[in-house]
Amino acid sequence: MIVEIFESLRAQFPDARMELKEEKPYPWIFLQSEIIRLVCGHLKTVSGFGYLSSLSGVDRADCFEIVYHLTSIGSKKNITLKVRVAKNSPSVESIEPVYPSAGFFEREVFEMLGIKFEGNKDLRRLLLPEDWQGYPLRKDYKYPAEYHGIIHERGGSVDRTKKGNK
Amino acid sequence: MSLLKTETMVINMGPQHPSTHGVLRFILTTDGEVIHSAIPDIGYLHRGMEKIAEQITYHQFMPYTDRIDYLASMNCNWGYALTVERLMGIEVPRRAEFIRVLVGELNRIASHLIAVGAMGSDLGAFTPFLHAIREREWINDIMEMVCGVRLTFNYMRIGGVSYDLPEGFMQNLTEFLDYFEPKVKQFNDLLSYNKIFVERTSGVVPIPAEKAIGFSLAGPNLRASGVQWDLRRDDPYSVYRELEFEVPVGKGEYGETGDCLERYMIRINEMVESIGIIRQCIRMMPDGERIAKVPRVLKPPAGEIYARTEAPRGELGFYLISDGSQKPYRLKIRTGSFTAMSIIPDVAQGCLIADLVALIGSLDLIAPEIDR
Repeated sequence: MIVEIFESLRAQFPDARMELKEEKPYPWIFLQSEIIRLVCGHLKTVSGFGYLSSLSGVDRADCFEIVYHLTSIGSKKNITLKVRVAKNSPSVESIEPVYPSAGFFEREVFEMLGIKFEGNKDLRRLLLPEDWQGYPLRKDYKYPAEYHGIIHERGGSVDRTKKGNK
Repeated sequence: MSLLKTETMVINMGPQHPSTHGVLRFILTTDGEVIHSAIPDIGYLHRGMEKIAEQITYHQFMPYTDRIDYLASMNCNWGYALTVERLMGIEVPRRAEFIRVLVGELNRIASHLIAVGAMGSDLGAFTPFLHAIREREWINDIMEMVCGVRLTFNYMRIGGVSYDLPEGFMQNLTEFLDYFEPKVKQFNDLLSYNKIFVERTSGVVPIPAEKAIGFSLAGPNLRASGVQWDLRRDDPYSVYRELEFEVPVGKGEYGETGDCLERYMIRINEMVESIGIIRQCIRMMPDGERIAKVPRVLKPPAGEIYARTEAPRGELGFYLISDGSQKPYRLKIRTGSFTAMSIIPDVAQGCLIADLVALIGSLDLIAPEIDR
C-alpha cells in the first residue's frame, strides 16, 4: 500500500528528494522538508489522508526529525512521513493550512524543541510558563537549578543506586 | 448624554472556573454576551511526562500513564502496554486480553458517567451528577476488588495484567450490570429528555464532519459529527475482532448533527454498548495465564512504533522510539482532549458565553490529558 502511495508522490514531485524506508514493522517515507506542505495537500485531496493523527518532534544526534502520522478514514490506512531539519536554525513549513489541528501540535513541538514552523498563524508557547528557559525535549537540555525559588535538587535526596541506601 | 458605544470586553474564564473541568483558562473577548474570540491558555497541569519517560525504564513508566487521564486509567495503561508489546513482539495470553477488554470497558462506563454527569452540572442540573457519581461508586468498588485501587489503577503490565480476577468478581460484576442497565433509562428520563437541558444543548455549536476531521477530533466527539470511526472496529486491537458491538454515530436526530446534545447522547449510547461488550467478555472468558513471560529488564530492539487505542476520549496514541537501551529514546503521547481543545477557538466564535460552557462540557475535556 505504502509503495503505491510513494510511487504516486514520486510521479507528482519528480524533482524532490524522497525515500521509502521499508523498516520493520512499520515503513515510512522520508521527504525533503521544503515540500512537506505540498505533499500533505496532495495526500489529503488525492489519496484521502484527511486525518492528522499525530505530529511529533524528535531530537536525533545530528538533526531534528518531525514525524507526521496521517490516517485515511475512508480506507482505514495509515502513513508515516518524516522530514529532517538542521540543528542550527531549525525551521520547516507549517501544515496548518492543510490540517487545522496541526496548529496546536506544532506549537507544542515549537516550545519543546525550538523548531520554527513557517506559516503557523499563532506560534506561541503552549504548555510551559512564559518565562521558561530552554527547550526541554532536546537531549542536551540542562535542568534549571531553581525556578522562582523552587529548588530542583532537594538536599538529602537518597541515591538508591549507592550501597547502603535502601 | 453621550451616545452609548458598543465596546468589546475581555473576560477571564478560569483557571478555577466551576465549568472548566480541572484547570484550564480562556481569555474571552466578548460583545455583550456574544464571544468574539476565545483564546485557551493551558499548561496548568503540565508535568512533562514525555521528558520523564526518557529518564526511566519501560516498566517504571506504567504508573505515570494512570495520570494521563485519571478518569480512564485502565485505558491509558492499556495503550502504553500495547505499544511496548507491539514493538517487542510480545504475545499477550488470551485470558489477559479478555480481562483487559473487560476492565477497559468498565472504565469507559465510569468515564462516560462523569462526562455526562458533569455536563449536566455545568448546565445547572446538579442532581444527575450525583446519580452518575453514585453508579460510578460501584464501578470503583469493582476496580478496588480487582487491583486494590479506586482511581489510578496501575493494573496492567507489559505482557498482561498484574493480578488475576479475584473470587466472587464475576458475581459482583453481573449484579452491577443488572443494576446499571435500567439506570441508563432512568438517567435519560432525569436529564437527557429534560426540556431545559435539551433547549440548552440541541442545535448548539454544531461541528460539521469536515471540520471535525480537519481538527482531528477523536472518539465520541468525532462520531457525534457523523463520522464512522472507532478504532476498536476500524483498526482492531486485542480481541475486539471477536466481539459484537454497535458504534453509535450522530445522525442529527436530536437537532443538528454534531451539536452538544448529539455528543452527549453518543456517550449515553456507548455506555449501553459497553455493557454488552462486558457481558460477552464474561461469557467468553477463557482460563489460562494472566501474563506472558516478560524479562524483568526490558530492552526492545531499536525501532519505532505508533500504536493507538480507543480511549473514552478518543484516539490515545503513543509514538515510541527505542534505541535498544533500557529507557525509551522518545515517547510522544497524543490524546483526544488535546485536539478537542484546539477546535474551541474556531467554533466558539459568535456563540454565547453560556453556549461555551455547554461546548466544553460536551467535548469532555480533561485538563491533565491536554497538558500531560
